[in-house]
Amino acid sequence: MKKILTILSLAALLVACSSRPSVPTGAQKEDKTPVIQPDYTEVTIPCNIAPCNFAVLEPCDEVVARIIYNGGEYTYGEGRKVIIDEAEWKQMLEASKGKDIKVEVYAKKDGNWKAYKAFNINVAEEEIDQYISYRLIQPSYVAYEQLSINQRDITTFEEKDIYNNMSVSTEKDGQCINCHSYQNYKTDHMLFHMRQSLGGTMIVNGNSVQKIDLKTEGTISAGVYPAWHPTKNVIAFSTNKTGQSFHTKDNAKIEVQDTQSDLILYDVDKNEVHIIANDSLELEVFPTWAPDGKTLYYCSAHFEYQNDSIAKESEMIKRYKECRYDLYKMSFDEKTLKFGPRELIYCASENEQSATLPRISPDGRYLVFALGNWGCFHIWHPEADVKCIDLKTNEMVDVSIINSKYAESYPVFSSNGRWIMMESRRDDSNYTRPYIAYFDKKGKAHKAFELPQKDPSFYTYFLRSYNRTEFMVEPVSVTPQEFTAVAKTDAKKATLVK
Amino acid sequence: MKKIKLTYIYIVAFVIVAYILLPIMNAPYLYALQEHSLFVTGHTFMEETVKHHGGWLVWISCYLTQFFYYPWLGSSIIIAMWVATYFVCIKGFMLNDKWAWTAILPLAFRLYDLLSLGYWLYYAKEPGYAFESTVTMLLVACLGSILVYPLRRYAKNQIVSMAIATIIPFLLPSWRHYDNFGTTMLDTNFRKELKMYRAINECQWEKALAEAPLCKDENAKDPTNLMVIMKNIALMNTDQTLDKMYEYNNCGVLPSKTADSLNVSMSRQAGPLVYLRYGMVNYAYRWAMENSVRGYQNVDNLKIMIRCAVLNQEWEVAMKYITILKGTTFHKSWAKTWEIYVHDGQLFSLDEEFRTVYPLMMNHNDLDTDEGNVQRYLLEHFTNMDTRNPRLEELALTFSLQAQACNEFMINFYYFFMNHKDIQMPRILDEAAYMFSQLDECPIDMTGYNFDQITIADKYNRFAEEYQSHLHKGLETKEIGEKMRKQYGNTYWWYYYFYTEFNLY
Repeated sequence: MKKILTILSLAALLVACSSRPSVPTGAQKEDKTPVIQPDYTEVTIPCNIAPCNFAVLEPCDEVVARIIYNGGEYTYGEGRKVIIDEAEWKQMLEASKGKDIKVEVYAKKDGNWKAYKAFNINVAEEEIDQYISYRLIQPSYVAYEQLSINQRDITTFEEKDIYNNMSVSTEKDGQCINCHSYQNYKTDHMLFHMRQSLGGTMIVNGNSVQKIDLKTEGTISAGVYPAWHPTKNVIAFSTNKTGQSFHTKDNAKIEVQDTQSDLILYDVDKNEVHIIANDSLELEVFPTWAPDGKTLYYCSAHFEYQNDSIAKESEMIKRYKECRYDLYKMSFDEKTLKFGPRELIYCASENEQSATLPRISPDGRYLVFALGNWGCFHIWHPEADVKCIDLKTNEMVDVSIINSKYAESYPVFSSNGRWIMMESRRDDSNYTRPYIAYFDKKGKAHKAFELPQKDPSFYTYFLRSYNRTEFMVEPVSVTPQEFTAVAKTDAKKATLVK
Repeated sequence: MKKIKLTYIYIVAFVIVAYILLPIMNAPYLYALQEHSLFVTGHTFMEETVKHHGGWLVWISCYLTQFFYYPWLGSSIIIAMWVATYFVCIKGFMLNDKWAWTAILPLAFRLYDLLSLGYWLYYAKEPGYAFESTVTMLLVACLGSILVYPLRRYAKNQIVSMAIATIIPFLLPSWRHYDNFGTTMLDTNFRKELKMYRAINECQWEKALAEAPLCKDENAKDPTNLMVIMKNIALMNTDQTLDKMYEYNNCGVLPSKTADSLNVSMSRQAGPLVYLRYGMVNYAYRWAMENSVRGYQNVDNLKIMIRCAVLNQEWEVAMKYITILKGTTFHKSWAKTWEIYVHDGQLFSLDEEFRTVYPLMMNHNDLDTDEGNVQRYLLEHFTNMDTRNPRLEELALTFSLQAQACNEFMINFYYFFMNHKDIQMPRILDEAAYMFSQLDECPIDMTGYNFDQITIADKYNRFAEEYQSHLHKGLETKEIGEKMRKQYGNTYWWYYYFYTEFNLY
């Protein structure tokens, strides 16, 4: 008898815990939509994204959200948070492809309920790539400890380490890890760099993982910003001499500057480095391939040092506002690995602006990039925005809806071209968060939304930035342990072909 | 009369010693321990903490460490855990009166561990350091007792139990070099730095000044450079810099070195606070961020970052940090005060933080770097500052005095004099100006300036003669300095002639 009672009590408790809140009756109507975090009001989301859980930031003690979709409705509410059941969310998305989900929010304050104006979440018919990867890094300046490159299944909340810099060594013997990159959204050909102790570029080439030293006698540095050719086993890199300096007063806080930079091409199979561009008066950087692999896009700033009596770094610090990048392209012959002459795509400098980080849509028609007032590191420039050019008409496409008053940078297209993911500091101006915007077939951008997290207040408490957010169509299959084993070995030296 | 068992005498004696060594003798150190830790309620903090190896232990230890906010409370909790461990050992390992002392050993090691950070306090990578080994020890003792239980009937003379009880402490202590323990307990500079740091952090300027050694305290140890800086900050914020700066000992030295070769960096120890107090808000924020990356995020950093964000009018990020700090037990009310400031700038303008820091933020922006050396950067930055802002002008003057930079001082002095013709020049400025005006490289012609003949000109000439005479007798500079300290210790000349080893860090 006692056992039965216990079981019944537990069952009752379980039912009580899983019961849904009911929609309050007689709530006073508010003529505005509620302020919620993250902001999912009137956004367009992919039909396979994880639940868009949110917290209500209006002054209240308790909330109830009624989510009405094509074929039914669900209610949720946990304190001030709306946490949506994953299975029910999938069902809602499946039934709402190409339609709206309506969200009604009720909030209780001092015993009185308010009913806010409902908002819609539009569910696109197009899916988004299931995986993204990013580096998690505190928005620090020089120090690096506890860096990790992670992959997230964005149809759920599952996140895993690809590689963690604490796995081999720490502190003075530690490593900075950066610049993960994939060939055509797939992970069987990928890379990332390790700097300082045990440095090298970790290259996954099919079944093999190798650590390569890309610094040669004729190049400025090892490979830095990478772009893996979409079909051939070659990678374009910039080589950079980079420095940092710090604003004593400006909220921008940091300037990251290249005093020298060139472009190289690395032939993975032959372990050979070829020079692409090394004009001493140009700072070439941020290569990216057209989807057909026949054109290489990149940025370049024309910068002439004027004072031989001081170090280049010092002169660059003094004249940092004069360093502005334009967008260029050059043709590429896949057979000979030769490049054609450069062609100007977009002259940002003539408008006293600087264009960086170009990416081409998978259909080859659109080019997105980050535009700021100067320099190459726009995530620290509050005025920086994502911009888009229609390569068919050479006209700018208005994507202002995806930007904010704080920095936006590093835009990338999903493999189907319907989603633009970017880094944004709009939450708090200091921490970088991944935002995703729908880019429809007509080339129109829609309001961006923040990558969903299980706990809607996650971004408030999370003290690391999302850096270099990239789409992937499959997860990285090499384990962190396998990367660690290779990390401990000596890097294989690449050869420069003159 | 019933004889009191040794088992109880040992533990009572230990508890008394622990209370003396912890809250009575080392309250500032314990308070600093919790300032260098962080516990926030909520999922994200928990998940971020427990995902690492031993994360649960860290999470629990961080929870307990926060109670050192009240050193007596934190001490009572840790001592209670030690007492519990003691009795678990006594009972579990069947230790009789004769062998009860062995169960005191692990507790003594924990007490030693707790106090053996010294300057490692600023370099520790374990936010729950204070409690980690104690929690582990208590768990191991409980587990050990359970494991030993089946052996009870064989261990009649407690040999097995005693062996286990004795081995356990040696398995657990995170043994640190004894001189770090010495730093915590005996290094007066380290102990004063802790007190001064808290005072400066809380705008309690007089409390900070009370710890700074005066020139007339001949027997007092020379302060560390950080103490000199914190003293100057306190003087600046009580408008006493030019009048009293050289009444204090300005002969800064490096922090004491320990055998485990820790080179203390000011950027790590107090860089964020020092920069904040000099109005260099971006640099304060930078070092708070860098330190949180090199170690871990903690209360001290968060409070600096909140103040920087509010002073920079970065409201969103200020609210982010405030929200996190509101998730703590003892810093909630501080965070709520700053939350009010975010919403009410008028109220903030009345706050001491605003009153003291904001006027120093009036300078133009520079793109620069301190290369990790806070003190050198401050000296160079302020000495070379071209400013007509009265607050900053005074800083430029005092830093050029400290840097012993003739050119920069004389230029700054010229402007200061032109702007303050109606006031009596502070003695220290006249002393410096008179001495520099005698030098060939002096960029300003001081012919028309009216130096007081007796207190400045004659006194300096006497000082110079005395110095020369000691020199001719073959005395070393250091010896001469000591001989002349009593009479001239509070003059700029003494500082200029005898403080020649700038160990900036």
